[in-house]
Amino acid sequence: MAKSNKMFADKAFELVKELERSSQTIPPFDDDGVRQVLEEIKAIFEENCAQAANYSTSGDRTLWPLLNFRHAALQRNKRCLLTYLYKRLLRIKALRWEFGPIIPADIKTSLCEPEVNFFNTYSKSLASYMRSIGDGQGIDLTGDLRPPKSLYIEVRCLEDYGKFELEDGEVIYLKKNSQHYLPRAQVETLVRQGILQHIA
Amino acid sequence: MDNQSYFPNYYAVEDIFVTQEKVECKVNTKLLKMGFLDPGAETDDLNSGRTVNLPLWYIKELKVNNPYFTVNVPDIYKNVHKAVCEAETTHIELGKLHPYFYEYGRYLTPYDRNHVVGRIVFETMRQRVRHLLDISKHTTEDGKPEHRLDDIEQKLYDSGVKTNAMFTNWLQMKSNKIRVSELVHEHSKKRKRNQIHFDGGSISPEQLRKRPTI
Repeated sequence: MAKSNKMFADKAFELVKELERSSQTIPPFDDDGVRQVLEEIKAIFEENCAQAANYSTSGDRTLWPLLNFRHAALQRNKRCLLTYLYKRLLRIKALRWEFGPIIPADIKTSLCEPEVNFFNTYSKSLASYMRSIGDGQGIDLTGDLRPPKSLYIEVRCLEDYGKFELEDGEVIYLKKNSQHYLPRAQVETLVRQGILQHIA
Repeated sequence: MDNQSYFPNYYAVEDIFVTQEKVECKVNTKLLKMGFLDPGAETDDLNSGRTVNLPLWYIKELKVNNPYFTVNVPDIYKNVHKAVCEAETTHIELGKLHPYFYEYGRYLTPYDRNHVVGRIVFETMRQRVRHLLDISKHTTEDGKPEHRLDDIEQKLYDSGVKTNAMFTNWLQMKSNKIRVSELVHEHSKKRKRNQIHFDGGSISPEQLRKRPTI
């Protein structure tokens, strides 16, 4: 009776719960948890298979409720596991829109390999779509949707960013605490990424 | 996912949370080798007459009139019943009764032989939704209501407060600045916190000794 307190599919539920509890950026991929759930699914499936085979020879119906219960547990595991992966994908998609095409290194360590691949492919398709629209010029859809009031804005630099080239070829040097008067459209992304601060 | 209306689909986390809840059931027939469901069982089998707590994800796979288990509807719905009759549900701290009061009730409705749970759930929401609108309209940044709400109510409340704030901002024409993306903001806050934590962790013993004199 050792496992009497531990219910089937609890581990899978833990995965979803932990993900829900974590803050907005993505928590590390729980390799171990996922593996445990997969093992549980496999174990349940094998037991059920054995029992089903037994039933077709003997026709013994008394174990049906057990079979039924294990099947429900299997489905439950599957649902939790898929939800875990799916919810992570949604967060990874959000990363692309908020952080731009390059994931910060400390976030990248939280992703597993297929997730990094997903991010790259997603990023690529989004970029090629944005290039294809807007009469051959391309539109940056990740930008702010509100119409601007002025073409130029005043910004303060919050960290040492380095060189930044404007569309007309002029190169400016973004140093911490320096202030600039720049075309809104070109620096918007940097403001969104927290490198510049919009002050007026 | 914030601005989507709530409807449980296969990936709905809320629905997964609700179906994780345990329901008290009475066992009607002897079930072979299912003793693991009952912590107090002495044999491998589950004997009839025992009461066990089973998760909702299992119960909902069974037929309502299945021969194995009878579901006992939890007391929280009986207690709310009186308040519903007196139309005083706004005083109940619903979140304390059950964080998913409505959803849980929805799942239990078919098992309720007195056919009241369904009505209770509906009436409670009908009576409270006005009140919810009122409190979300009158919430300022420092005056949050102390009542714990049900999950769905909380979402309605949050979006009410948010919409209200957006409307005020629009009236005052406040929102023309480009703001740091919320995700980025959170991420950099976390990074700073980690840095402080890291610095704090590497204090040399000398510094530690000095500290009390400061």
